[in-house]
Parts: sequence; C-alpha cells; structure tokens
Amino acid sequence: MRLLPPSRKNLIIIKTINKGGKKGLLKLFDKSPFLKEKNMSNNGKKNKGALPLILPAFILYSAVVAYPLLNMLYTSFFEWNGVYTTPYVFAGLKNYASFFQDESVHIALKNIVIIMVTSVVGIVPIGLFLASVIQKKFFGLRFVRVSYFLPVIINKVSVGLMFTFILYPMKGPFAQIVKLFGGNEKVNVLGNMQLAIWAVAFVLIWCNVGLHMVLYSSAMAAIPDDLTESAKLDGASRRQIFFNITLPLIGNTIQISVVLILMNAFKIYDLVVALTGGGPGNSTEVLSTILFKNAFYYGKFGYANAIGVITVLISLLITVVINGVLRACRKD
Amino acid sequence: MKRKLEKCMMLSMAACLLLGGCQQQSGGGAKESSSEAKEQITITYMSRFANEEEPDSKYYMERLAKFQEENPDIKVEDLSVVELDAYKTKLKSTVASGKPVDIFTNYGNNDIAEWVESGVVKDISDIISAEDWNGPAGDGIYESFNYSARGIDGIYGVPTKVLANMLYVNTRILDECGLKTPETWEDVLEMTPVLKENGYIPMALGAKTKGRVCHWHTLLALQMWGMEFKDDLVSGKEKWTGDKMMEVINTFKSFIDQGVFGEFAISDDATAHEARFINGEAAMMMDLSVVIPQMKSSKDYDSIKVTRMPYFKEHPENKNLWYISMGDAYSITVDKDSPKYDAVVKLLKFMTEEETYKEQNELWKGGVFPMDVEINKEGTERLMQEYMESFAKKSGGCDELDVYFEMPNTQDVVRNEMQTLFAGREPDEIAAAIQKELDNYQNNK
Repeated sequence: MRLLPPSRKNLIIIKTINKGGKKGLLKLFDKSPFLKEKNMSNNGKKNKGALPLILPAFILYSAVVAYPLLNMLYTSFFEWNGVYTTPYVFAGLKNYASFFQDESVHIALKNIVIIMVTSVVGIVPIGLFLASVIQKKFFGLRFVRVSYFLPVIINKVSVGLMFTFILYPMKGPFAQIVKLFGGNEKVNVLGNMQLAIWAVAFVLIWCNVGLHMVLYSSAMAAIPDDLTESAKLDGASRRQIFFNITLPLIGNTIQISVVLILMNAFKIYDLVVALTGGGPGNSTEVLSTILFKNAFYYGKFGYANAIGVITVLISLLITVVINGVLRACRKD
Repeated sequence: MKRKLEKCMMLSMAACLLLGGCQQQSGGGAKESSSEAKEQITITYMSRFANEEEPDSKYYMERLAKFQEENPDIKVEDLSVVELDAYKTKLKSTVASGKPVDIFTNYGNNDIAEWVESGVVKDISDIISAEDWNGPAGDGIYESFNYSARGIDGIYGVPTKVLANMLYVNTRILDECGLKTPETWEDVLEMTPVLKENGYIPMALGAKTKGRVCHWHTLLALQMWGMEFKDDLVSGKEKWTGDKMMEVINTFKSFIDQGVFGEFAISDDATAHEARFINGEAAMMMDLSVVIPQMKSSKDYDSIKVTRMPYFKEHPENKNLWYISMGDAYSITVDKDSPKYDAVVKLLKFMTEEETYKEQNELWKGGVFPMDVEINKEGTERLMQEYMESFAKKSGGCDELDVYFEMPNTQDVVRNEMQTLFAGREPDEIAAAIQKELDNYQNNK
C-alpha cells in the first residue's frame, strides 16, 4: 500500500488568522498520511476465489432481507386480509393512492417531519458540545460519559413510562420546574394534542444524544494533537479551532450521524407506543404505528405493505438527499 | 502451544461425536418404545393467560397444566402472550402463515369476524348443543360469538368471563364530605364541586387507556336511549351525528368540563385510575369485578362498597342496563376431519366446563360467570357479594358499541376520536369524524 505524495489538494487550509485582522493562510497541513490510494491491492485483478466465500452471507441476506422486501413490494399491489384462505385480490396502485388520501397518514407524516427536524437540531449541537466536554480530562469524566450514554441503552418502553411520570401535570418534576419559572403547573404536555408530539421528539433526543456524543468524541480523538496545538500557538481561539479544524475533520462522522438520526426518527415506534399510544386521539401517530394497526388490527395487509414500501423509499430518498447536501456543504 | 491447541480441539471433537452417537442410539431406543405406546397428538394453544401475578391468569395456566397431566397422549404447545398488541400480532401472523393456532382466546364480535367469514374459525354449535356439554349455556351468553347478522349461522366461541362494570365507592371520602352514595348522574354532578373542593377526584378514569373512555360512552348511551339505540346505530337508522348520539357525547363532555373525572384523566391509564381509587385520592370509579381482590390493599377497604352505576333521572327504565363484555372466549380452528379435532375439543370442554367456574368460585369466594354456579355465600368476600347481588338485578347490557359494526377498524376509530374529548376537542367534530369513516367504508364496499 503506497501513500499518496503530498500535493495541494491533500492539504487542509486553515483560514482566518487573528493577526491584525488580516486573513490568509495560517498553516498548511499535510493530510496525505491519512489517505490511502484506491485499488492498489492485487493490481486491479478480480478475485474469483471470493465468490464462494461470500455465498453463505449472500444467501442469508437474501432470505432475511431481500426476500421479505420483495414479498412486501409484491403484496403491496394486492388487497389481502391476512387470512390464508382468502386469495390475494389485485388492486394495482389502489393501496398507494389510499396512502396519499389517508388523513391519518397526513398527520403521521407531519409528526415524522417534526421529530426528524427536532432530532437533528437537538442531537447534533448537543452531541458536539458534550463530545468536546468529554475530550478534556477532569474529575468525574467517566461518570459523565456513562451518565450521558445510559439513556441509549435503557429500554424505550421504560423510558416512556418514566417520562409519563416526569411530564405528569402538577405532580411531575417538569410541572414543578414550570411552576418555579412562574408558569402553570397544570400544564399537561402529553394530554395536549398540539404539544404531545413535541414531547415525543424531546424524549427521543434525550434517548439518543449519548450515542452521538460517543461518535463525535471518537472522531475528535482521531484529530492529531499537533494540529490543534500549533493552531493555539498561532493564536487561534477555541471557537476558531472548533469551527475551522475540528468540524471539518469530523465532517464524515457528522454526515453519518445525521443519517442515523434521521433514520432513527423516521422509524420510531416503541417510544410512541409507550409514551402516548399514538394519542391523544391520533395526534402522535407515526408511519410505524399506522403500518402496525393496518396489518394487525384492521387486517389490511396489502395497504400495510404499501406503507412499508413507501417508508423504505422515503428512507432511501432521505439518505441520498442528506448525503448530497452534506457533501456539498463540505466542499464549500 | 499451537500443538496443544490442536490436541484440545481434536479431543473435544471426538467427545462431541461420541456423545452425539450415544444420544442417537438412546433416541433410537426411545423411538422404538414410544411407537408401541399410543401416538401423542400435539395441538397449539394460545391465550393471554401467561402472567402468574394475575389470579385469573394463574388459574387458567394451572388448569392447562392439569389437562396435560390427565391427558398424556395430548401435548399442548402453549404459545400464550400477555400483552394485547403482541398477542394480536402473533395470532394474526399464525393465521397469515396458514398455520392458525388450534385453540385460542378472543373477545368475539369484530375480533374474529373476518376469520369466521373466511372459515378459519370453526362453528362449535354442535359441540355446545350436544348432550355431554357441561359448559356455559343460556340466553345472551353467546351473543358476541353469533354472526347471524352477517349471514353466518353458528356459534364461534365459548366465553370464560363476564366482564361487567360497576361503581366502586369509597364511603369514607363521601362521609368526610357529608355526601351519600349517588343514585343518579344528577347526584354525581351535585357532589362533584364538593369533592373537588376537598381535594378529591370525584370519579377516577384512566382516559389514556382508550377502551375505558369507550366503556363510559357505551354506558351513557345505553342509559340514555336503551338497547334499541345500539341496534339502530349499527343498522344505520341512527347516525353518530344524529340528535341522540350528539346528546350522549355532549353529556359526556359536560361531565368532563365539570370535573367529574378530575383535571388530568387524559394523563392516567387504567392502572393509574385503579391506583388513585385504592390510594384514596378518588371517591369513586367504574371498573370490572376482576379488580375486587386489589381492593384489599386499600387502607379504606372496609369503607369501599360496590354498587350499580348511577342512572339518568329522565330514564329510570334504563337504570339496570350495563356495559357487559364476554371475555377471553375459546375458539377453535381445527376441521372435524382433522386428527387433532378430538384433542382440541377435549381441551375446549376442559377449559370451559362447569367445574372450571366452581373452582374459581371457591378460589375468589364468589364471582360472575358465564353460567350459573351454585355459590356458597359463606366465606364470599363482601365486595364480591355486593357485586353479585347488583349484577343479578341487571336487565340487559352490551359490549362497546363500536364492536358491532361491520367496518373492521371501527373500534380503533371510535376509541381514537372519543379520547380527544379529554383533549378539548368538540363533540360535533368527533361525531362527524366517526360518521365520515363509516360512510367511506360503506361507499367503498
């Protein structure tokens, strides 16, 4: 494996120096040791011996992932009530048309957007902040790290029950805090059709910020110390170091993190069921709960599968769009 | 080191081969002896009786174990699950896969309507009308499992429970506030401000559990307009947006607005509302007889009494109409010509025969069962006695109104919409939303 020779395109250019207000190049950092040349193994020849080795994994993947997906796609074009004695009735695109006409789907899509946007806006900055805090060594660091990661591993049903108590009007801790700040302690977040979804979004942020804190922290740890040290020696402030060195270098991680946050928010189910049950009414329904109800309560398997197919397509679209947007931002 | 590792691996492989060979040999031996004995039939069973903490659950689990002891030629594969969503998912998955559970519990009506129509669930009318039938019989018992309104003859389930809502009253709280047990809803409304002033919830209700909201809605509808109203509503003669139903929903809304259920009913689920009553925070609650054993944990146990629900002064003729559901009924999916049929029917009879209810009667010291059981009043728990005395005076009743409709998701639609009464939504919007769904279903049928 050969390393690429240093060249201008391999260099990170750090802008904005505080020297008499003049802007210019501060430092040229050679990142070539961190790059590997592509396709340098076996001189580009195809390895035929690999095929039998990947066959078992391929078979397993096909059985567990590909076949159910294809079956879901197939069934989405039929009406079927989930009873084996009932034949499939071809419905064409009727299930897909129903999806766009279904009022509960409109509510669910609105809720999903709220949860996704709130999650990104909440988790990324908080995760970055926490990650930068735990980069430093201080007394109690391990405790802080574990404390913030703990919500990630707690079962979502338990989290839902816990927050039902926390958000309980008058008696819950949240109501007491609101009262402390002069608000109305009778505030009933989970019982309010407009506020309940925001409560779900907040709880989801609480559950997941620890994971992303760890992701960002690992990425930050990989940044060479001499880079930040030399920036400090040259007079760069912490803010400048963070925005001009740290953030660009962990851009890939942030990209992955945003995709993970959006996917996690998109397929939320257990937290909604535990916290609100989709209520009050159907004000906190999401696509997963609607899919579940249509399949296992109403016996509309064809429609449920259509929801599943659209869910997969939207997930793919989100991934492509986000990757494209973030890649473009990083190039700028 | 490497050689030692290789030797260890060789030895462990040899041991595995040896053990495997021995087991096969002994397995073969066992097969030879079992073929001489009667062939064991395996049947699948599924219920929500899987939690030993719940007394009735524990009873049925022990009953099943007893069946297996007494019938070593029948192996029962128990697939039971407690939680409702998980239960429905698992059950529907077995049906969708083409291997439905041989015998399972359900609530009848829309719960299994499609399976009855598709022929998955079998007619058991000849079993329950046979001379050797020793289980529930009588008028009204099988109403929830009769699909004649859909043009299907037969009976499709045997209930094991009668779930009826009664009024639990904490007389200590009422005495403290200078009040008496209410007879009518008008009495309840008069009592409400007094109870609230003294810091009590007049009537506990866990509106977070949508089903409980609909139990209330059904009860109010029955007490206002009687049993005929249910039939007219289901047939379409009465609309959800019609005057009668609007009066029911508006009355329910007025109860909420006047604080009958406290300020935060929407934040409590069914467990929380029971806890509020048991802890002495609520003066009254509507609940099933199954919670009677829990009352013993209340410090106000001696002050708690059970009676029928209040009624409307304008409609005294409906005062003994109750919300009643026949629960946890056993249904079967096995054809008569299947080799498993006799075994499944045997289990069905065992789990629903008179002895089952007699044993439960002894265990709980009373109860209301889907068949008449001679009750030894000595030793019957006080609250259970009061419950049985009141229940005996009932003149009729029905399950939630939404279970009688043809549209499969009626219950979900009605429950979702009714719950929003507690979130400030207007009754006419709710009624309109429900009627719209029903109309859409009829138009697209």
